[in-house]
Amino acid sequence: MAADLDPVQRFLGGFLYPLVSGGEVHINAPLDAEDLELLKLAYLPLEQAHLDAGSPQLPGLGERDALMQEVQAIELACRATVAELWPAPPPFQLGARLLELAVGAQNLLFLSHPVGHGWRVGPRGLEQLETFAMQCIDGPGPASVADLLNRHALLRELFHIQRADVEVDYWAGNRVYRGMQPPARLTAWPTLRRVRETVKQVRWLSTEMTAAQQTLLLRLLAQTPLTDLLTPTRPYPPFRWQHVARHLSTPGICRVVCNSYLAQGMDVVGPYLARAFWEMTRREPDAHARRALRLSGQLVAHLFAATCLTDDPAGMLSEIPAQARDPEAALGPILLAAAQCGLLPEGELLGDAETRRRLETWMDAWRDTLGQAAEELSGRLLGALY
Amino acid sequence: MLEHVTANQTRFVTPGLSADPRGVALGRHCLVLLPSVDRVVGLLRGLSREVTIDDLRVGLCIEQVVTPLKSREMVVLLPVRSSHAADQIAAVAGLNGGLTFTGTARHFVQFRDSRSPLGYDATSLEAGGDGDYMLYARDFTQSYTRTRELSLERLVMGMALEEVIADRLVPGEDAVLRVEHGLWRPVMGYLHRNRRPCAVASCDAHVPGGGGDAQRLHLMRTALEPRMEALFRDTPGVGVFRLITDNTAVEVGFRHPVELTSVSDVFPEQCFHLFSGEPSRLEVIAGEPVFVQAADLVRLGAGADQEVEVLTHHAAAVERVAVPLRLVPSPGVRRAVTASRIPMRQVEQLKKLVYLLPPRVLERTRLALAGDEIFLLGEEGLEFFPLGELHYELAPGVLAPLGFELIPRVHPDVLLDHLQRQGDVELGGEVLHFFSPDNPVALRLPRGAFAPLSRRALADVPLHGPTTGQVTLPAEATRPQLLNDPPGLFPLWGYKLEGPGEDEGPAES
Repeated sequence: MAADLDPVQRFLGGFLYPLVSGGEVHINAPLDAEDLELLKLAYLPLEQAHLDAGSPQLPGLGERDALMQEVQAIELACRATVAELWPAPPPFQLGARLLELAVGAQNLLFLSHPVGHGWRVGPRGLEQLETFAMQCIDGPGPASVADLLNRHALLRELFHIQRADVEVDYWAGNRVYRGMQPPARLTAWPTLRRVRETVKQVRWLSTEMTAAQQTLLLRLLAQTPLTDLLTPTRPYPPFRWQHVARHLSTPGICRVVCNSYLAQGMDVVGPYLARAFWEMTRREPDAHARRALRLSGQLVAHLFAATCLTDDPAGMLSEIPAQARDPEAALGPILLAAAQCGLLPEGELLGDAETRRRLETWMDAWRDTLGQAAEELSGRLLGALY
Repeated sequence: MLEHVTANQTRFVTPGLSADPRGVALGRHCLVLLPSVDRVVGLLRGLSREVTIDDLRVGLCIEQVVTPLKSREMVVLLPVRSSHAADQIAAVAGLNGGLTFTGTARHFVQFRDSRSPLGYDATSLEAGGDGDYMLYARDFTQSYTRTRELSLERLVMGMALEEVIADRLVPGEDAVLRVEHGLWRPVMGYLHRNRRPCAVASCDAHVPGGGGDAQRLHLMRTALEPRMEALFRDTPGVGVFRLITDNTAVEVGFRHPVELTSVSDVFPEQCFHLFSGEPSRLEVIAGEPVFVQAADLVRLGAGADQEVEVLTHHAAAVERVAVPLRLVPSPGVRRAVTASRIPMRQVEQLKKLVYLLPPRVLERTRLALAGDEIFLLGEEGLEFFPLGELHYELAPGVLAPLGFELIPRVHPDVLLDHLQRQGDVELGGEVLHFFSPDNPVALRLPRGAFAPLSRRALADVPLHGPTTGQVTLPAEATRPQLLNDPPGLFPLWGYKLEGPGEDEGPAES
């Protein structure tokens, strides 16, 4: 019996391609294990597929070609994403593990589908869906820098995805359509039936999620640490250094992260990074936490040095009094604490004379306003590190 | 008898002897006394490796001499200008069992040796009767009378070749085939079919001193593959020769005892000489062989009496099979980056980078603006610019993004030729072709549009001027928008937790 490729093609063309390149991400019936196997088979090299030619599930050459065109478009889009971060992007191949993660992401998004809460999907069906999504997401983490970049390219937009919710008010009541167009019968005769449509753009992450969804999302984020590092301002789950800081020890990744933070703006990402750092110092330190503290402290110092390389902080000093109202949302105390704990590079390692002078100007201004918070943080940092 | 020459000695008993700048007693000639002709050959062989015998040929004389007691010996008379040259001759002569003398006319004294570093002089001259040469050695004084003279030409041409084990043509080395009259067409056709360069000359060859009529044979100048060389060497009637000079060739697998390049004057320019090894002989071809390209001699496919059918094809027919070039990901070895295609939205990063670059990089890097993109070109590498889409040089003037390659994988020269044939005349000069995975149309930029990325060039570029504000930034990429499609009546009906191997059965909903 020939395999039904429609769900797979819908998945590649309607879900995965727009997810990586932008556009309308269509959430349809979720893929199951059989569909995933079919996807993997279609992606097998021709030689290996020839060996498996006895399998009734194996798509024909024409179907494979259609699937491969979709796959190539996805790969090119992902590669373009990686190329923005990495000067010489590694080859991108939508392998089995990436396909599993993508299927897991689709199942996760399906859990927000309005149908998922209705009578058409029973509790056992939902349970199976969650189980399979967990099976897809759980697995080995990124094995290399290339894997790290490729996973980010595939899933980074999941944390920016938006949805247009349409609220329809009419003479007899109102209805909300999440990510769906209201039926025509509901909006017919708008004047007579006093129909009013309100479209609201919401971020998918900020909507209410079930406990199972939250767990799946956390697991999925753990599978793509670079995405975790590059989206500190996301509404959920909150940014935590300890899960991802170890990847900063790779110079290339650290450079990517720095570039991203500087591009987003220190004033935007700074509060999230600072709160995550304070939160880390409140925990009982173990070996991982100590390494994370050290690396994140050094990253903050590097961010300031990079800022001072091209910009004079004189214009930004006026913002410091405002930061004093919430010291835990300011990066200044972290820099001062890092300096006191010996995490700040010395001499020319920090930059040229002008860069060092600018940084000193900044640190002096913080000492005056945020010195107390810096002292407290420095005490915690010393206790945790030494 | 002889006495040692002392330092700064100016007067010599032997006529024609004088001290050279080093103080060595030297006449105008060196005379080498050898016991037999084969030692003469040995001397010439040794000398031909060290010096060019052509330079010594004027004045070189090989003679058979007899003593008053009628014992025969050989004398080789060589002109010398310095004691260095004489040292060389003496060394080779010593290895061949010869004695070296020096002098100018009739009286020759023994050349210097380790006992007398500045040479010898005769204490008194001997009359020597009617001998032509009077030789004074440490152990003897002897007069010699010339009996006959040997010609260098005849000596060189008459020498038998020596076999060299495992001698092969070097790949790419020109070869000359000696082909008997009846075989030349098949051999030429074979070479032509195998696309070997081949030129044929028809000649009449004779063996010097052999008498008889000249033999008709064909010479072919070609470059052979190793398998062909083995084939021809085993084919009767075909000989494989290596060109030594313009007019001498020696059969492969043999060598002439004398270095022929050193005695090229011996061979008349208007003749071609073929030294065969088995049997050892020399064939001389009178006149310079006139070679004709084999392509002009092979028979055409159609017979003279058959009408050749001429098929006319329209250009459209060719276009129907034309394969468009495609850019595909290539996970191969990373190539050196030579160009970068930077979108205008990264101009601020580029500007910051330019201020930090060392002067040499600024000088070597060139910049051009086209549309809303900046093009950087660095022939010696562009590793300092981790911006934009990095390109490598696939062929001269053809730049492909890093990690991609063009298919079909035609030869770079073919690709370049193809692109240049499609080129616009008005662009002129050398043109660079940029390929991009996002755009199927290759971008063409004249190399002249690139200016050095120095401070002055940057000032000319409107990026750093007040016109920066006029640059239109591209719209931000659209964020993905979630759209919940109708998933069917029972979207989880038949939902499986296991692959096709283990059927789980339909889920209840």
